[in-house]
Amino acid sequence: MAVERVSGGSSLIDVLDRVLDKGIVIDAWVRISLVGIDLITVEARVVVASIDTYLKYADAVGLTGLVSRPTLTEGGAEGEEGDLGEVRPRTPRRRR
Amino acid sequence: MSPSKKAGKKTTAVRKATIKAEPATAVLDLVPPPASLKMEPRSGQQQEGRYVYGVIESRAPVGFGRSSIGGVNEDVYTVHYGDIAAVVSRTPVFIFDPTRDNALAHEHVIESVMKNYTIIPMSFGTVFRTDDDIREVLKSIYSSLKDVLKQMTGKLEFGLKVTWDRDRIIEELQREHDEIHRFHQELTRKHLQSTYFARMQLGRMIDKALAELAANYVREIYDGLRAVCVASRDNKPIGDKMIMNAAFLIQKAREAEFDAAVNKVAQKFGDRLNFKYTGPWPPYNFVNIRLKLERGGQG
Repeated sequence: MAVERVSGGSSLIDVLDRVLDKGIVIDAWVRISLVGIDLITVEARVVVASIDTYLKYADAVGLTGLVSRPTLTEGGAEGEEGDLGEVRPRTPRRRR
Repeated sequence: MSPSKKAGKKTTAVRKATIKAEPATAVLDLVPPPASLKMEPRSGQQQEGRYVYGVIESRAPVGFGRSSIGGVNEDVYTVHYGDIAAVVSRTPVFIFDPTRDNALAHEHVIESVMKNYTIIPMSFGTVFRTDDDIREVLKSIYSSLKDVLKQMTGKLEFGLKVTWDRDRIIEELQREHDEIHRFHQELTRKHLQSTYFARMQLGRMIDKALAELAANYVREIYDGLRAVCVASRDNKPIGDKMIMNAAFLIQKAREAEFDAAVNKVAQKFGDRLNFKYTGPWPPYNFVNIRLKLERGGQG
């Protein structure tokens, strides 16, 4: 029995299986892993104006825990980076 | 002022390779810059955004037809930072529901990009407000993206889901598995009140035998494919008929070889197992980049 290969777009389940939570996902610290090849980690702090979109989207797909803690920073790049890796909700701190 | 490494980070046992661990920092003001500074081709309304499909390597602008994501019909173009570019299309800013149309529109764009480029796919529903926001992200994780692009060049992902007819396998076990066969015979012979517990016991025996059989089959399938793939990933099977839900990363040059290997393995199992073989996909299962965005420019 020969196995036919079907292209990606022909199966919605297989598409959803991949596109929803794989690839480049905006929610947490940059973590790059190439499974089976190598594992790389980088930490990038990306601050963009469109964060609201993500918060809304994350809310919709249940990722809020990961992004619900925007760190309000003073003077742009300077921030409180001590505990960004955690996933518990907390009120953002504002420095004065 | 210097960015310190965060405590309690979740990534464990991660080897640091080519990329420096120091945090890259990028800031974009929440207040939109004056229109004259914007590099947008047309001054869109407030609510216009950019849907991002993924990242490719390219210095020159490239077009990839049109996309119907979000129910619009817009050109798919590139936003560049140095020699990498995000593949995007204009869209209203809203939360995209992963409907059939939207998911397939996303995949359709990815497929047309893949004809000529290696693409690092973005997960579904990622919308930025402006091209500048996108450039900012590209800039922030440039070295990571370059590295991943380099490692994924010339590679494709394929999916393999293996299912079986569970009821048929159970019947076979009741016929051929010594212990189960004996037990089953005994149960059908006797008509005792205690059969409820005996049936429970039989059920457990069957579950165990099924799990063992599935594990053996899966191992055999991997054994038949390992030599041809660069890497593989074992995802959780969906439903009780599926015994394997895997993704394989293949050198493009060995695509035909992998096809043959899949067929060879499938033939070995005849109609006992059903193989669902999909692809090529971009390396969704082999690239995992997670970004956290923060609100900046306040205070």
